[in-house]
Amino acid sequence: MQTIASISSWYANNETLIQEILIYALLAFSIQVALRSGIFSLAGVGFYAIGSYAAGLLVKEQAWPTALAVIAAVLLCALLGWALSVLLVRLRDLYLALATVAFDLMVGVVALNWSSLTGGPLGTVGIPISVTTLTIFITVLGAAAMLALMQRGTIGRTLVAVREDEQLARSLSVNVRRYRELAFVISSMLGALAGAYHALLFTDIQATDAGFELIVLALTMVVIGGFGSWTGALLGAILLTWIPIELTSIGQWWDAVYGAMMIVVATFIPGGLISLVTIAGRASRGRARPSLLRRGSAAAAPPASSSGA
Amino acid sequence: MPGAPAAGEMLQQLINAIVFGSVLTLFALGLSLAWGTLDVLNLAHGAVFIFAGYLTYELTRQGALSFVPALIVSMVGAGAATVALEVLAFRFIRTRFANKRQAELSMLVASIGGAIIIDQVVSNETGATTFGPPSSIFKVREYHLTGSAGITNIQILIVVVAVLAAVGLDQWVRRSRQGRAVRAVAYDPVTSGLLGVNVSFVAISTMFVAGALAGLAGVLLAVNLRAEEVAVGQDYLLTAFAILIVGGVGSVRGAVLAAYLIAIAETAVVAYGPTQWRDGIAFLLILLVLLVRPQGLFAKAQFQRA
Amino acid sequence: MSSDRAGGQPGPGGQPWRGGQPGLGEQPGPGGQGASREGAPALKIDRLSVRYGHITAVASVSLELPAGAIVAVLGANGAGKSSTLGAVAGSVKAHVSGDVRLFGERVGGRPSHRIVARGMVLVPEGRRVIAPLSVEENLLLGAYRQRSHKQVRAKLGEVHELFPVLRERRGSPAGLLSGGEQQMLAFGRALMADPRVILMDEPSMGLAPAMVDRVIDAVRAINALGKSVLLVEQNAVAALRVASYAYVLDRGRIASSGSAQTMRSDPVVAEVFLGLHESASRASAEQGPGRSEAARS
Repeated sequence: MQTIASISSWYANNETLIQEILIYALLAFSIQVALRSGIFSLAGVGFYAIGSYAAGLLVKEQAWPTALAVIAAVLLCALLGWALSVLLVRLRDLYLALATVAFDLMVGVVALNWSSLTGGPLGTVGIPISVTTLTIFITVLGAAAMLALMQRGTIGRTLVAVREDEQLARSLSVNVRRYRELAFVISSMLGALAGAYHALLFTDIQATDAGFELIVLALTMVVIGGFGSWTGALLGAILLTWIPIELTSIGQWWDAVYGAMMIVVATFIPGGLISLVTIAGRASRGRARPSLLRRGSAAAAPPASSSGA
Repeated sequence: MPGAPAAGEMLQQLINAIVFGSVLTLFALGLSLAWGTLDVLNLAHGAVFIFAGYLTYELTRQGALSFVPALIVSMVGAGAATVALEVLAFRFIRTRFANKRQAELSMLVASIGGAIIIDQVVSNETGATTFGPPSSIFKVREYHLTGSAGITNIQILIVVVAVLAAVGLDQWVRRSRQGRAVRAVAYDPVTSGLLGVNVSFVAISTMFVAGALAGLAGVLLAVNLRAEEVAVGQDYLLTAFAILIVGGVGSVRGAVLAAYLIAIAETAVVAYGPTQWRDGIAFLLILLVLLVRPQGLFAKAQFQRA
Repeated sequence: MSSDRAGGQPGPGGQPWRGGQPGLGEQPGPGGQGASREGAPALKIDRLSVRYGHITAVASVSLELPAGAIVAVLGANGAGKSSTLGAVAGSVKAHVSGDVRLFGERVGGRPSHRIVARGMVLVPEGRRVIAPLSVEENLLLGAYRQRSHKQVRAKLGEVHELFPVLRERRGSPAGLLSGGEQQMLAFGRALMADPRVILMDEPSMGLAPAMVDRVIDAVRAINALGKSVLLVEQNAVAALRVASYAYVLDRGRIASSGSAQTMRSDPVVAEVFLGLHESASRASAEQGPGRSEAARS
């Protein structure tokens, strides 16, 4: 009984932090799913803004049911995401990154100037709280499951092929364009989900919410956590939401420590922090191998040292 | 009908635009150099720009140094901060990461870390408010032109310095032995090494020049406005993205043209148009140019990766 | 995008091969006892190994280039030739061990630009001209370490004399030259550094037969200027026409070596180059028996 009480009091004290982590996790997934497919798109942040206005305004102004408003916001962003991917089909790498950053910031400028819809500089306020932490948690679980499935099997392998060598993928008759559009659309939908939940949980939207800072934060979460897997994005979302709060206790230089940690991880841990977990996991599995050998398992053949071609 | 006062007003706006465009030019040249030769999109460039203004403020407010020495020390400081990022982070990423795309990403994030550190230093030391060097270090004189229009000596200095820096960089890249090495490294670092070019030295000197140019811009802006703050760095960074895209990455001439074009467009919108759309110009230009002509509107690249 | 930044290819044809198996690699060198009487050889490679992660591309290769000579290193694709040259020139990103001496001076493990400063230049596989720079700029880049304007001009004159086409096309971007012209530019660019030793990685690759002859003539002309040349080639017939001595590299090891004359009739050379190699023979069997006939002619 006591543990339940202490858990619930811990939860009450940290509810906002947990909500923020969950919403940032969705945003980080949005960036990660694109990066993992070799698409340097940061458009998820723009769809975060569009999704938050769409869901917030539908609930507040049109009194739509929450679920319907969220679905509508996500579908709208899916459509816009597809359109954007078609427009930006020729761009790669840093150029694509800059184009999507410009798109994100343009969304903010439009929101600021479209006062009749968004309230302009005053923002959209007084949205009824209409989602629970549990709903968001379940959504994050669902999104994680979907990303995990996308990392496996044919789709996962194809996306890796598209990322590593577009020409090769094309020569294997992969429709590269279709796969890039798929990744783009999923990224847009995840960004929209994050924005919609943010609006419906924290009740107000400002045109400056999804600015350059949020782009930088989302990108940092994914790269620091590790963009190779959804688990890295989740780890990044947890750490980069939580660490700044912890670091404020060390005084006025916390930001500098945070910056230094970013440099160290970006420079020396290419796979992100999640790769340390993976390496640790592989090491423990490595220790298990001798026991297999003792049992004389045929499966424990020496690792094939193929010569490569 | 535009009368004499309106003409004077317009001339004043044009002067403001050209001064703004000159600061943008100095800022964007360094960013373009780093991206064009070393594939680094250095997001700490805006922080370095503010850092130089802060250094001048620190060095001159007690009357320790006069304008020119403070300018030189601040430029060296800005160059050194950029070189520090190169030596501590970018160099390792370049040599250790096999995948080019991942190296670009990691350098981007490392440069964000650098920007955060530099911003923190400046805002801690200045109490996170606006700051600027004292007016005593540069005696501002205003010259009256027609009507209400006027130009100050510091504004003239900014324009002259920007033009000289652009011409100097252009000539350095095209004609000098070192500039030839920079272009070769931009195209193929391994082969450049095989020809005797010390590639890591070229990288360090390129980053130093890039940082010093940002520093030059930052000091001149600080002396002109006498009120700078950390957030300004990001505004310049975002505008410079548009300059690189419009002018073409790796083109000195393109960057100069694009900087003045964007400065004039933004000034015109603020003066005569819907002021709130000002920031939208840069973003819209990035999107439009990338959609229509990804290699930039103007000159072809002088130094650019294969 | 500039691919293949590592310089050479990680000669992956060979099996991962560990340990320093002595034997074939330690045959008497091309200069025999003669080279040491003249002083140190131009280039001496001793037990050089190159590993990329778990894959060993070059395993304990030893060879010698006497001063003023042309020595060929022959081998099939992926035998470790490019890795050997890249390791010697300091341009491979790999684990390298062994000793490399340039006229008796240790140069192993130095970065490539230092090695150029010591007087050895690599002409890389595929020419690797700096395409957007003009022909003249490429040549001037070759003389990067030479600060005296006068000497650079003098060198430029010498190179123009040797390869007049580089004077004719001095203003055009190097990328617009034909393959053969680009090879001449790569040679000229190497000469601009005024090296004592030139390493050449497959200069005849991808060229028409007539052009191959001109490349071989150029190698001879460069050698006549007093440069020692280590010529790595897949085209054994062409290389053996100018080289005085040859080594055969197979799966990262020296499989055979001897004077050019003996190598022309060497069974190992025939095996490696005429399609009778064990892995290659399978491929040639699939392609039918005509292949070895074609290679011989």
